[in-house]
Amino acid sequence: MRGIEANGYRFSIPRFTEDGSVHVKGFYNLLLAKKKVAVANDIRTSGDKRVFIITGVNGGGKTTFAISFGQLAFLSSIGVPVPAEEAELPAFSKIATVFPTGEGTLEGLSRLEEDVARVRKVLGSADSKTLVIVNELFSTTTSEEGFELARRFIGKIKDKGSYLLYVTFITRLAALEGVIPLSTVVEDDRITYRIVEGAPDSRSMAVRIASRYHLLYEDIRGALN
Amino acid sequence: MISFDLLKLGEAREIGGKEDLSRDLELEKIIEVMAQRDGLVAKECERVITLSRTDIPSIKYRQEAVKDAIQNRSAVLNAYRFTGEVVEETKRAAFLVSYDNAESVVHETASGLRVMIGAFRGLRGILNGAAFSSEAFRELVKSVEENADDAFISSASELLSYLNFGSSTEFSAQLGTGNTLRDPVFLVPEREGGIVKRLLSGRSGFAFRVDPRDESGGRILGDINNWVLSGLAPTMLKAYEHLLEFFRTLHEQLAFFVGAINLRDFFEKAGLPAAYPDLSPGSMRFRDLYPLSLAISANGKPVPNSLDARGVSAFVITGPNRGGKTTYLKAVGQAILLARAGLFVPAGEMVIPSPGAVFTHFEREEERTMSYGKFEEEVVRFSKILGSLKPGDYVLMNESFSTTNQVEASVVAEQVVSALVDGGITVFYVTFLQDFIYGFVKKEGEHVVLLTPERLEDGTRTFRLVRGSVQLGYAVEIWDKFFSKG
Repeated sequence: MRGIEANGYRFSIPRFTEDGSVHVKGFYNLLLAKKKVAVANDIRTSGDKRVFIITGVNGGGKTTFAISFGQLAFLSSIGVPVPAEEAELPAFSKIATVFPTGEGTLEGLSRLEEDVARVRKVLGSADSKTLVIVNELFSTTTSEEGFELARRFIGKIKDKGSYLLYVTFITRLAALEGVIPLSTVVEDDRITYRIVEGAPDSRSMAVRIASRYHLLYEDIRGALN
Repeated sequence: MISFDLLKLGEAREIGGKEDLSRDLELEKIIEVMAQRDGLVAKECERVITLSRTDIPSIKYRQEAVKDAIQNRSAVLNAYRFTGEVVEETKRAAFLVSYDNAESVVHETASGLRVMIGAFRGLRGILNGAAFSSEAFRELVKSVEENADDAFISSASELLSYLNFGSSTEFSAQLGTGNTLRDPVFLVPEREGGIVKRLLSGRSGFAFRVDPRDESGGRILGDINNWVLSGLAPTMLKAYEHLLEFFRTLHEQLAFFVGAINLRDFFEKAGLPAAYPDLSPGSMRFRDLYPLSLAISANGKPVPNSLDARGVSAFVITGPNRGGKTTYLKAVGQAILLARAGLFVPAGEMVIPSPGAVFTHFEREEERTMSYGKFEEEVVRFSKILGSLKPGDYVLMNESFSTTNQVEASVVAEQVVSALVDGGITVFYVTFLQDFIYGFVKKEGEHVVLLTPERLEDGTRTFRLVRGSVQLGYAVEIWDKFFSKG
């Protein structure tokens, strides 16, 4: 803690909220702070909306954001100072994560089955004091189907009143009713690692790169004539 | 002038991106089998296989020539060996170190020419011993017969015999201002009673003797000799180089057919079928096509595949790993290249839609991580292909655009593949990009074939690819299965 503070990062004593609101300012990743490269972000909700959909570019800090908040929630629940400037949040009694298993050997359908099984398990014991963090669920099918499963999952989470941080490439999820969209910030094609409230850029980074090298439909048709 | 062209390669050069093509399609394995350690055979086979542009008549022309070469294998192998020896022997006989001294150029080229002129008899013997039926080989035989007949060989040999080192030089010249010599003409010494001798015999020419101790006088005569021969040297050099070029080119072109014969021998040994492909616009068909490079490394018969598609220019391959997807892609690419070369393919039958060039865009091992840097590298590699791409070409993609998330990668893939297909390119694409697959299949309908590794009822993998279909709804079914229970 002292080493991290020496790097210019601050710790604060969290305050627990009763109304379900979250107000965390300037929270950061401990490991990155040790290396002096952590970028601080904010997260807030009044408590009526508890589902955060995090979208944006690859390597834009989405997963780090979710993990860091999970760590902060955990540290606050055990009663120690947290890596943030200010932290007001509910006292979570349970923190659950569903991250990709990294087992590439499982094929499409069985991967999907496993995802659904894990989600079901998490939902089974989730309540209003539960924080769920998921990363790229249902990604072995089309985004259309992935969207449908995610929509159902989010619906069930809402019913339980749990908190959810959902990291995904399926940008349509950010437009769902009753969620808080968060997205990565890119400035002049440079990743800032900041995550802010709002819908992601409609034109993805990959499409922008392809366009720069004339690899979009019209360019190719033109080149082939 | 002897003229021949066994290959009809035209002005075509090597394909752009040849290194990627060779690496992705494991061409070196095929070349190795064809070459059997002969460097020239390797080089020539590679040249024909990686040809940038060709057309249907040239492919048919080469096919006939290849069939002919296999029919007349001993003549072709002998002619290849023989022409190689002639080139070597000629180079040994003609020691051309410098072109400054006319006398040495004349004498050296003369001895080289003697080797080559003499070799025509041997070459004719080899070629006449075969029963060629293809246009390519018949043209060669005819041209050699017509231009290097016995009369030519004997008169050329005789002419050359006067140009031995140390023999005398006869010439006529005019007297110019101040009694200088000008306009020398080299004279062939006629046989006794020959016309020149008879014409000259009546005249008593002026004669002079140079004292043996007169060094400068001797040097002047040497200079005159050189001066006379310098008129002859360019002609001799041209003739020498021309003939040497003939033997060298013939040797090089035959090298390709030697490769074809070696490849055929491998097919026999491995028990692979051999078919000469047809070309027919809109058709992509093959029956029992074997992956050649795999047959070579496994030294046996891998699993063959069949396909019958008309009016389809997009083939999307997806499904579990280690199911034979990449092997399939390689087999198709190799077969198209062999077909363009005029060679036979390891299949029962094959029809390809066009004589277009083949380009590959395969995922690189080092690109297996997700980052925009890697994605950019992929995009750059693809845009390089676009530079040489023409309608009628083939693009083989292996997990292209998998260095970013599938949602945005699918958008790019959809744009690229749609544009290629609409632009007259045949595309084979191994991919896991679900959004692309479903979106593209939905959009293109009949114009796309989806291929996936076959799995038998009992779960056995056959390593064969079969037509698949887009099956949506599974995800929701799975969900319902889990959530209805609880």
